[in-house]
Amino acid sequence: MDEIQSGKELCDQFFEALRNREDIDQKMVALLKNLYSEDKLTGDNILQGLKTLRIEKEDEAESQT
Amino acid sequence: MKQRVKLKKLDGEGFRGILKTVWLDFEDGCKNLVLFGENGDGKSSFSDALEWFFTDKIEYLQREGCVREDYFNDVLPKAQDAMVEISFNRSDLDSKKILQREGGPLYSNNTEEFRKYIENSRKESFILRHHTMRAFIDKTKKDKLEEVEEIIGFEIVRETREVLLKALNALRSSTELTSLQVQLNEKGNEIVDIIGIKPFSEVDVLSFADELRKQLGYDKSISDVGTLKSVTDELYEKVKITEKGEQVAWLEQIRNNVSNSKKIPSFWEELNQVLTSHNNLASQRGKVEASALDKIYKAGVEALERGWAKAGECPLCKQPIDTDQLLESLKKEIESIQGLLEERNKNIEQVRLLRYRIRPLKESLSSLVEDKVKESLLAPHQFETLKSWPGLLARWGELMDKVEDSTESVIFELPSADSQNALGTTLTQLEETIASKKKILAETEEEKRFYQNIQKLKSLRDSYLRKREIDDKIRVYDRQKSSLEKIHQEFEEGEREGLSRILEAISKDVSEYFKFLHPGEDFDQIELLLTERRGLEFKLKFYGRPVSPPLKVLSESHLNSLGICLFLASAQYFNKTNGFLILDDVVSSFDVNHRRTLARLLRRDKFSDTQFLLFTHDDLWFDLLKQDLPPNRWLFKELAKWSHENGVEIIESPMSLRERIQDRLNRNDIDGAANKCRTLIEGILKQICEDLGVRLEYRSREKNDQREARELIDGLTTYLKANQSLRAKENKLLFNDLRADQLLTNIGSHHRNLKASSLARGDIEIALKDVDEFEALFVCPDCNKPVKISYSPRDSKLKQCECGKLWI
Repeated sequence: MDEIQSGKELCDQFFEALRNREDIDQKMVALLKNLYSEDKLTGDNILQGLKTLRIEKEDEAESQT
Repeated sequence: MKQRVKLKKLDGEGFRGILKTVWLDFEDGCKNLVLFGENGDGKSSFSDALEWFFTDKIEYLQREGCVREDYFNDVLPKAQDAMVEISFNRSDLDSKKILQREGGPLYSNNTEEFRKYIENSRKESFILRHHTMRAFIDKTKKDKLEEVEEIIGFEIVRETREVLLKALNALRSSTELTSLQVQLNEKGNEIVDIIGIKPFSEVDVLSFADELRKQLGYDKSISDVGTLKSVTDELYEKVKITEKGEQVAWLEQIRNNVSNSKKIPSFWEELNQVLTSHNNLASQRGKVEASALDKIYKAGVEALERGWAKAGECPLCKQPIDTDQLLESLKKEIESIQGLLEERNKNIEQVRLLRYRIRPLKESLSSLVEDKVKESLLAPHQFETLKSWPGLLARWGELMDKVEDSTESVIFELPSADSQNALGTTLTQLEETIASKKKILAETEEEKRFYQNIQKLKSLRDSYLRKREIDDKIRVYDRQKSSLEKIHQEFEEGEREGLSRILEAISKDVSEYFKFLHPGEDFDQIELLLTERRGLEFKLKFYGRPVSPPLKVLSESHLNSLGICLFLASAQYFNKTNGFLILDDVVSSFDVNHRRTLARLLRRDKFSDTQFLLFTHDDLWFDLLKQDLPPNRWLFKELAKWSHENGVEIIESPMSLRERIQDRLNRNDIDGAANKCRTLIEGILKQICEDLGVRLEYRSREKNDQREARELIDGLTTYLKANQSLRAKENKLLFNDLRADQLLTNIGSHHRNLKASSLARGDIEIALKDVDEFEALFVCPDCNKPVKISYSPRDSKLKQCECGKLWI
């Protein structure tokens, strides 16, 4: 019975395990983790967050050139 | 492990069948309870009260269209509130809950601890009713999965997966990404037009640019993107140094702006489509208004689901309202406007993309009406034609703002065919003027080549840098997409594994309970398995052969017992807060043997920490439970006959069925006594027939238990005649008497219209006397044991008692 995880435990553990994964965008991981922990994980919020990340990336690239 | 919450006392007043205050007292040890009541005596009022106490609603009544008003007892004065009060083994959770005539329900316990307790309890399933026990088995695979997810608290997992998928799909079909891909293609084609190589690499672009540089006689070479940029800028500046060069560069710039401005008609066409679609939506006034309220609806749902709003009160206007019904209707409303919202969102997305394009168009057109162009390149009528367009484009921008900000229709002016033609003609004429101006500048062939090469280099540089920019943007998108795809896929796998682990554990218990309830039957390995298309189904082995769904081979009674097993197993695993379970009349379709095994299953150690409340209208089972369940841990109570004046009444239950018949007689409840007397006669006849091995017509499964007394008497008579037993005349008379008693008690229990005039106390008393005498005929006066097959020699027609003095 102890091996069985509740839904919340499963989600907590999943988002935690995404950290330090080289094959996954860590900024996106941080975004999803934050939204999840603040109970604001919705499709719109994810898309808005991803847009902000893209803009940040463009600004970064611009400042380098 | 923290001790689970159990019931100590349950009080009700004015609620459902309960009128005056009644209570079920489970005593200090929070004992188990068996509550007997005939149909209609009000047993379910207690399970209803418990359900309402925890959830604010009674689900099965709500499904039938009942509303909060129906929860009040019919006879309760209209100004009086109803109440349910529960004491628990933890006194800090004790609370009364008032069902108010005006306003929402009120708890007397307002502590944070109690609030959390109720919140946690709402996630648990602790009531199983007769009419819902098979509901799960009958559901579709998808609904089964959803229900299990709900029971085990996996909704959060499903919701998270759905959110990730929604974001992923939106990212995949992003209009911005599509537009970037279109632009990338355009830039690629421009580069191919210049360098003439397809497909091309960065090396191809740089080599071509460096070749142009050499032709221009410039000594700094182009070897990377940095030098492509710097060398092109330097060469362009060099051109502008001479007056002729400056003039040529300016004309070239104007030519570019003319070329850009030619894209206005296609832009207009796309904008026209979006505006038309927007106005179509706006014409559906009701829906548009609803869509405007979408955010309010969603906020309302969030407030209600998260418990921010007070139960029984509208979160917006604070008026009393059934919050569950409000939540349901808000969800329906949101669903009904979903399509509309999707179309509207698509329009908004289109408008945002068009906005990217309108700025360069406006800039190009504005440059064409500048003074220098007006003076040197445009005829007055051409200037007049072009002059109106920048303003028109500004108005289109305002229209796009309106589409984004409001759901109201917009009025837009369609440029007339004449004005569109005039624009096309003017732009073409302007191109011709530029060409002739360039001719007048009398460039030498060398100069022409020089300017052309510079222009080519500049165009190559601009297109390539823009292509790189777009490439970078798309790469960021792609990385986001692939990361989100991985996250979604791994989440889905994790969800499936987590669910499978849980299902495996539950299945093990379901299988164990089911086999306990059906010993010796060829059912095995009952499993709940995830199906391919996000569903759930039972699978079992029947005579070693896998069967799914179980409906194929299980009888009604077996399916019901599967429902009970699933309920017990899931409650064992997932009810962490509450340790009580209510089984409301769940054994009605069980045969006698399985009823007894159910009682034995419930008294097993596995359930020692569970408090059971068993409600039944089955006299015989009630009697069997009294024999099978330990009295130190179980209480037995009965409901008196329900009346309009008194509502539900609880009485202590005498131990034996005979005592209970007597008790009913003492209360002058003749119908109740007759009903129990019928059960007594049937029970005794079934026992005697079984003891003697009386042959009866074959019937399968539970139908075997549904034999009436008349059939049993006939079978017994045939047996006795064949064996020439009980030949004495008085014994024959006793048979006739029993037939008459059976008929009489049947009238009492089934024929409600005849009861008042047909039955009297004396009838039942005589029937009881007959039953005693009849039963004694089959018991040996010496050893005091009944005649039974098990005492008798094999193949003997007659059966004997234990001492062998009585043969029948």
